Amino acid sequence: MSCLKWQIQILKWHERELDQKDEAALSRHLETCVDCRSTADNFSELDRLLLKSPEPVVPTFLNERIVSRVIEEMRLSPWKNSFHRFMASFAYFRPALAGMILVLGIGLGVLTGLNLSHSINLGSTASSYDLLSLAGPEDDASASSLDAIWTDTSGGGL
Amino acid sequence: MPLRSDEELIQALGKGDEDALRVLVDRHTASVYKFSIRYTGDESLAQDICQEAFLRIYRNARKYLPGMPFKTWLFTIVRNTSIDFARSYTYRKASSLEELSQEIEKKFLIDQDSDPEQRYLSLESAQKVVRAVQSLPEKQRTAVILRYYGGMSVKEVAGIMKSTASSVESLLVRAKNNLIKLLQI
Repeated sequence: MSCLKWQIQILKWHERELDQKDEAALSRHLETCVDCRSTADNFSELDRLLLKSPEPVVPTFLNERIVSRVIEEMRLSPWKNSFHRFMASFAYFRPALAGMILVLGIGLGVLTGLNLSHSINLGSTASSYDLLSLAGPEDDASASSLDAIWTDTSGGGL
Repeated sequence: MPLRSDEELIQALGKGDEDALRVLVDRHTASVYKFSIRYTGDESLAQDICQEAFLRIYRNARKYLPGMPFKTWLFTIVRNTSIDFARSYTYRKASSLEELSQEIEKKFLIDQDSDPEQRYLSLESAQKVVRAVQSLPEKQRTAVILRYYGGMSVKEVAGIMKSTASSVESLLVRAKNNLIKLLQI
């Protein structure tokens, strides 16, 4: 066991948190390790100093000061506070709400995309059809309507 | 009338109950103030931290889950407030040992009735310990104050510091080793 781990055992030992087995192991270790014995003594002395420390004096006006300030905020804007409290009550549903909004957004996006691509397809088919119908004679059943584009009916070449 | 538990008081505070606020403040200001002043060493800053901490308690009262240990929740807020304030403000530090002595004598209960020599020894010892604790790194300082002055268990300290019990134990050992060097034990 490393020095830090033995020191942790010493800490627990001082705080009476070691079981019998660990306490016995520590006791055996302290018989042989000078450094850890020194640590154990120093920790005892430090605990004594920490426990002996005087208590801070709490100012007598502090409670009233805190109460006044918090009440001021509580009364400042009941509607604002009510709104915030209402929203805060959903705090734990926020991730689920965010997820739902995301799914809804993606769904709407997909629908919009589908509609758009459908419109584009319809649009390009119509324009192609219009072009072909312009290129070829309506009553010429044998000729390809595309051939008519290249035939110079006036006699001149391209 | 039976005493209301902290959990009941917090839930009432979340609904705007001013009486619940008063009871909570009376019950917990002392421990909050003692943490703050040991953490910062500055009286005025500690008072500001207390005020801000209770404001945050009020604002977050609705988020408090009934099953959560109240002390852990309270001191998480207090600790975070102390960190925020210590980071944002340059607070006045005692410029001389004499000034520190006067501050400590005023801020801490030194037995005024004991003989002068005893008072001197108590004061000297107190100022050394106070200074030593305040000079520790933040996490070590927090762990020492919560454990040895706040009387909290290692598990409670771990909850407040969002850490594990074994990490807190390592922190305490390091803190003690640092304090031993600083206090020249």
